[in-house]
Amino acid sequence: MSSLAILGAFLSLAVLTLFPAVMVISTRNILHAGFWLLPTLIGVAGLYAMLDAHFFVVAQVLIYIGAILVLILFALMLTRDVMNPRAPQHNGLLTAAVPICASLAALSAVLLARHPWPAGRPPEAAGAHDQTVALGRALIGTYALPFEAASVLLLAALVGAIVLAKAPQTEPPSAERTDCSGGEK
Amino acid sequence: MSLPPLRRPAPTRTGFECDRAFVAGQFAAGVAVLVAAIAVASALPRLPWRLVDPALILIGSHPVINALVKALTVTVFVTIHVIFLIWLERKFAGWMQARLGPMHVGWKGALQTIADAVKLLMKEDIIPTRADRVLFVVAPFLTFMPTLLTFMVLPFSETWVAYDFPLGILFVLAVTTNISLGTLAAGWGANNKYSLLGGARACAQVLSYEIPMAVAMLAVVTLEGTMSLTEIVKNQQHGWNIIAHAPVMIPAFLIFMVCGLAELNRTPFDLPEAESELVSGFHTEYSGMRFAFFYLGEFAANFFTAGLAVTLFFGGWMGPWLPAPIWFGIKTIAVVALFMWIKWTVPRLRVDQMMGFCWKLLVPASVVVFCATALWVMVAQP
Repeated sequence: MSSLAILGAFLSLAVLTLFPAVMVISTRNILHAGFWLLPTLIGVAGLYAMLDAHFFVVAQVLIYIGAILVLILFALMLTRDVMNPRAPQHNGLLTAAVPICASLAALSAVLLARHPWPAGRPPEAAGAHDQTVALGRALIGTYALPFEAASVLLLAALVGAIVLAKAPQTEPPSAERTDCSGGEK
Repeated sequence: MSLPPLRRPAPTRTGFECDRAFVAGQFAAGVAVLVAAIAVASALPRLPWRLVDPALILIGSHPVINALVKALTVTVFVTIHVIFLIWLERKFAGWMQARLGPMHVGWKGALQTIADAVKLLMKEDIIPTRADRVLFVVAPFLTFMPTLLTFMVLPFSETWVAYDFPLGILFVLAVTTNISLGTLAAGWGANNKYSLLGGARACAQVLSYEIPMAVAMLAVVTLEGTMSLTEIVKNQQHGWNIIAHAPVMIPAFLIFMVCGLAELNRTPFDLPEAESELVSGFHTEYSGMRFAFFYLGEFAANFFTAGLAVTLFFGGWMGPWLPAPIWFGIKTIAVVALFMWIKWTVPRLRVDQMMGFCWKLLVPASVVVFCATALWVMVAQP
């Protein structure tokens, strides 16, 4: 592939990732915000594909779109009052947020500028099968402990979520039904 | 003055008993041929069949043209074969319910689906006033696109595969889960309580059942040591997985089939579109071409899941004498017929039964099968 084609592919993937990302935070309909995440995550998968990281392309689609995004949307549909256009989009922490984000952006810019990027053609990437084998070996070999620690963390989160969800059952359940039909009264 | 005697219609032969016997005979003959074919296929050593591949001659070698032609071929195939599948389903339902099914358009109603498609195309396109227009319009395509994508990696023969992806199984899992996004969008977009319930049910069902399905497919991966669908078929040259590794592969196949039925929203798992309680669930408000897209996606997914079962457990395109894609087609249609048989036999489950069955039985069972497969590989394979 010529470098112009690579640049074009990268730019279109960047637009595909960034424009919906802006829409996610700016749209007033929270369900639409959830659906705008879809092109963003596909764009990130495309960037992985450009880097020849085949396993991560598939894992990105499988986990981020197939599981997490679906779960977010599912939870939104069971939430009350998600479509209220009068709900505020900001909280009062603007003065704290702007300096923190600005310093984070500056730090990232400095780090990126200082990084010795390799020039010229990158070496040929391993095939998808070999990559997957190498990743599997690393996960049960070198990185077994972090991997298992992450599993324990997720398990703790799972148990915690169940405990939190079970708590309100001490009160008598309210007879009012959840209105999830988009403000239709 | 006397009235002319009432003209009574001539007693017509209902044709009912006669035709039922006829259809049953046809079906029995079909099953007999199929059984004979399978018996012959498993008795003889598998002959690798190298078809002179017209696709390769046509496509040439330019990557862009190659990709375009393949995409077009897959799309056309998916659209055309659904016409046949819908006819088959209606005939099958008719046979199971002791009636004839479509009979009037074409031979034994063979062109009925085309007539229906034309009707759907010409229908008024209705979008409910208070619907979420964008989601409502996008949803049918969101449902159909993942199904279309899965056909990209399905091997019809050694060379008849659009993209021989080394991580084929993972790709299939990743893409098929996205179908639930479309059903969610449809359920929400229609702004209808039944649609919303149907969409939520579909989502919960697909999310739950994809876990045991993935684990059952991983059992096959453990056995074969590869995620490429083509490689998996090639490894079955000396015996189908389900026969050669019967103790672990038969339970894996059963789990795969049950989860496949659930992912396809077919009875006994058709709760998302339960006609009697949800008025067709997430596609209640759809009409015309948008409705047709849901159906297209559903039947294409049906064929794909059957094809995947054939690839993983029944030796894919392998078979004697006939060209490989034809063998693949025969086996896949047999599994599709199995799906239809189950659909028209079993009643619908309740929601809690459906979820309980998955999480309390299928998930542990699939993990057990997976561990057993790992042991089987260590013991049986030197």
